[in-house]
Amino acid sequence: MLIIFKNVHETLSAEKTLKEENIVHQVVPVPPYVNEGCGLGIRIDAKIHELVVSVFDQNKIAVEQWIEEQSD
Amino acid sequence: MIYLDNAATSWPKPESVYQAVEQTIRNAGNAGRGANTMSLAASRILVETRMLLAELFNIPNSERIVFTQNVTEALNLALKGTLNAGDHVVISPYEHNSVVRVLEYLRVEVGITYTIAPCHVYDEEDAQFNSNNYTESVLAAFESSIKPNTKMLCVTHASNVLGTILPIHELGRLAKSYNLLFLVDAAQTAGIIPIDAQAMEIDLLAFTGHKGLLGPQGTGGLYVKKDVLIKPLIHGGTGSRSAKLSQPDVFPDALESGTRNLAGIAGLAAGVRYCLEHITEIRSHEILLLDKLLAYLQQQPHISIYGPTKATERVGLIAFNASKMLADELGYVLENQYNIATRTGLHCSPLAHASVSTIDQGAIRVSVGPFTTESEIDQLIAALGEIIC
Repeated sequence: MLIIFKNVHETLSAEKTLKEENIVHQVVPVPPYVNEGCGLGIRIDAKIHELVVSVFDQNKIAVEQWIEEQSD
Repeated sequence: MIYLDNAATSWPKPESVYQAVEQTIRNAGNAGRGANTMSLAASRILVETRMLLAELFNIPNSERIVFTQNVTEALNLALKGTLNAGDHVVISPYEHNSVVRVLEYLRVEVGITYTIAPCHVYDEEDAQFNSNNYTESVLAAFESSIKPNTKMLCVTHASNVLGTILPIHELGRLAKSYNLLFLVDAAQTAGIIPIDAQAMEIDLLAFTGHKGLLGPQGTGGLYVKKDVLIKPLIHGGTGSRSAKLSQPDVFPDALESGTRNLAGIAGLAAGVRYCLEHITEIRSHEILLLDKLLAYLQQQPHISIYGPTKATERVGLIAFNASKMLADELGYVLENQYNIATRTGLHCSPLAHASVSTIDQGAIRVSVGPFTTESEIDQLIAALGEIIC
């Protein structure tokens, strides 16, 4: 699953939070046709979607888009 | 060199600042430009530095802090970005030219007006600071200057000439009670005197990185409270919403076009870390040094000191004049015969000098930093004793 944020600041704030919570993730490039944002996204395993939602809620991280991928 | 010009720029910096600058130039790419490892490392430095500054200033949302080259650019952004024709601003009599010249420009070119709040905190006869009812008199001066079209109170946190600390908490409350924007210039206080943007009701906080925050020159920033409407000074590439031809409105991108001074900002982060760890000691050390120097200067009949008489009522600088020698000459002798660096002239603050009637002669300013030692102040005192007393 790919998570898109409004800009680089928000993406890397989310990355910092995920690191602090020891949640496995990857910061990855995102092509413009997927999203017009900052060219970055965070990939997580779809199985931990709900966990990540609650972590972002607690830390006031705003997500612009959750995108399911073929591998999910 | 005994360096007593920390109000101009702090020196030396903590060792961690030098290291951060060098490591960043060697290892980081361009922030916000793609997903390669070096670009991400650069972007993480910006995010981390914003978070450190947010912690230092108690700012609830770090993305509302934008980096500028210096506090002058931050003040230009704050004033030009929010004021429109017909707006009125109230300022203190101690504002730096980085505020006054911007307002003069806006007055002539845009059609704003401004009033210098008549804060009579100096006795007119001897130009001595009168601390009785200080806060009340400053508040009364600002309140009496508010008009129906006033949009903003713009106040330096501390004068770079007189050292006077303005009552920011109370002025913030006054601004809110009239629903005005509150812009604070923290050039002389950030990193030294605690700033709580929320408790102080600050809408716009302009700061420099290379003074109390102990970072390199070429760094600074502006905090813009959520929902404050502000236009950018410059437009261009942000690394976000790149398909759009118009400037993005998300923060910090909206106000940050073009490549930031990344190495400088990495150094700033190291300086802010140092401040977060040492801010209480930094201020108490400064007061200790000021107490010592003030006690000496106040006993000299040939010396006139400007600003508050108590160290606790001023930031770490003292401007003075000696009747036996012009300030510029005194500064020259101190540097060339005693290896002591000070700052003479008008310090880019004609309003503050006018308030103590030193607009023609200027003054010599001595300013301390966290690494100034008591021994250095003793050497200054000894030198002054030989030269002018």
